[in-house]
Amino acid sequence: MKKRLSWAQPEALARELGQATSQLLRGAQRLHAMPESELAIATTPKDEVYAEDMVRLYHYRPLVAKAQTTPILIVYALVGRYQMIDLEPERSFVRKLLGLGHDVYMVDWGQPSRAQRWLGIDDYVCGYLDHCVDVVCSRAGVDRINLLGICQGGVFSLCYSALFAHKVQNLVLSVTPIDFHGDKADPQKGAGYMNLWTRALSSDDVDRLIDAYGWIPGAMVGLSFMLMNPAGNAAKYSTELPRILGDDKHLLNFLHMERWLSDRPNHPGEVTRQWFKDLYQDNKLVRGEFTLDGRPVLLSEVRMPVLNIFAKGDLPVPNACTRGMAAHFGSTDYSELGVPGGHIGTFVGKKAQDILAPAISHWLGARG
Amino acid sequence: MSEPHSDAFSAVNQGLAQLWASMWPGALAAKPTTAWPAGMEAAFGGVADALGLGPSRRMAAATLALGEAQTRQNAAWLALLQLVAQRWPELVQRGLRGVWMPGEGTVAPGSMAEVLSLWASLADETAHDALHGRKGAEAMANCIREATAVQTARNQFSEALCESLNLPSRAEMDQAYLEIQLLKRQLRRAAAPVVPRQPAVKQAASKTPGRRSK
Repeated sequence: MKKRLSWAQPEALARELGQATSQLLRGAQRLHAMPESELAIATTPKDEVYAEDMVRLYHYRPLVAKAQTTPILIVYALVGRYQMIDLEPERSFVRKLLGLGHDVYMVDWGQPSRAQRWLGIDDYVCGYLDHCVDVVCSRAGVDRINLLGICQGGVFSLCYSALFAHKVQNLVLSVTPIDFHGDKADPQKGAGYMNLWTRALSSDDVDRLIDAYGWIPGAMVGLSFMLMNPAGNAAKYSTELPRILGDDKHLLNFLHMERWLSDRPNHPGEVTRQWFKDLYQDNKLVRGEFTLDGRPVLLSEVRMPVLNIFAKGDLPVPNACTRGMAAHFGSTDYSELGVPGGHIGTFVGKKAQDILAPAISHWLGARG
Repeated sequence: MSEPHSDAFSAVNQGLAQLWASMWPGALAAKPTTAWPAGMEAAFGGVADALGLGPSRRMAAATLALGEAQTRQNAAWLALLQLVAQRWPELVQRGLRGVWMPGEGTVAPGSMAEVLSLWASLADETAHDALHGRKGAEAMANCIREATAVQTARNQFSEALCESLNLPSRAEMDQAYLEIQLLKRQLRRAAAPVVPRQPAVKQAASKTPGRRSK
């Protein structure tokens, strides 16, 4: 026991403090000298091929000869920026797909301003996303594309596939909430805070919230995620950062992730209203009551092959909200894949990275 | 037996006191007043507005409302923290156990930094225990409600400020954005085919006016 508690001796404490101080000084110098080029994220070469309002469609330049003909359109969430899937060259989901010969497009939802506060999910799915799909089809000379949605982008992709099934060859959903009340029967401590918070509010509370703010500021979105693990997030800066200051590789990993985390877009008000009331509160998606542009979004219309990927340690989207959804879909070709790590770790974690892109590529390859 | 003039004086005094109380409720009861009292408003509000003091008076009222809302918001956060703090003894127990008696497959911290990391993960675990019940969800929802009230009071202030500076207000701008958005939505729906179609691939990129394809 004495050995275990050696850190509590005054000399050991003084030594640790001294080491930490000199590490902090060296780290401060390193941070000061760090050029912007080292801090840049999402550096995989790409071209902007379409723009509408604040939305951009990017086409990634191929890294190898194209082996797959049907392009993949990746749809990220509105609560973060698309750069997460291309954080750094060694941890880039996009690069891995490109390396496997896929033709990859990406929707960047941009930074909505106050002017976009009235945008609803209808506008995103039946407007921007549909227009992007048309552009991808036109450029690739195909009738259908592979749609890969992530988190909230997965919900958008799912709605799109139900409404515009004739334009989607295969649907890949990743860390996507589908049954928003799934956590009720299978609560998981520390997970699903958004479900709990939203359900504790009344429908009128949500209306008042949206009417008062107009949108949900990006900083508030970021704060809500931080509050899911407040002490852990505080410790990240007080213990983890000083520890890695002398290790360039880990320091850059940390800084790249921080850059992504701090770039939270504002969330349009009407999208938030639908997201909270129709989905989190009323669970309309699996009940077949969700409508977009006046049309019902019926999951039974999703008849194309579906690959549903979940993160085993997902906290924002509990597994109970995303797993075991086959019965809701019209598709007879439904598969699930669990990857190690958390919600974001699915795309940046080492273990998940080794599994994810090859598994998706293999699944798509088998379906043409 | 009292003097007649003394009775009259007392009656006038009482009448004035009642008038004062009706115009400035709370003043006689020595309670703090937080809003422009109804009686004063009825008597002098119109003339104050006519003199151009309307926006200033609304800003003053909004400032008071903002202060009250912020106080309630602080109380909501405190209630949430209290809920977590009630679990403090449990956290200490868990911490001591983590340091002294690590479980199977876990290692006792070997440095102060590791102790801090351990404490952070235990603190979050304890907070999850506190917040995952009905009380926790209600406390968090209350924080959101009070944050909404603060924002509403800020909006009232900014509306009055914009009015005083002859600027378009937040609500007016929102209304303009809404009209633009509704028009754009109508355009989009008008451009979309009524029946789901087999895509005309070649024309797809340029079907909607106002969009840029590169």
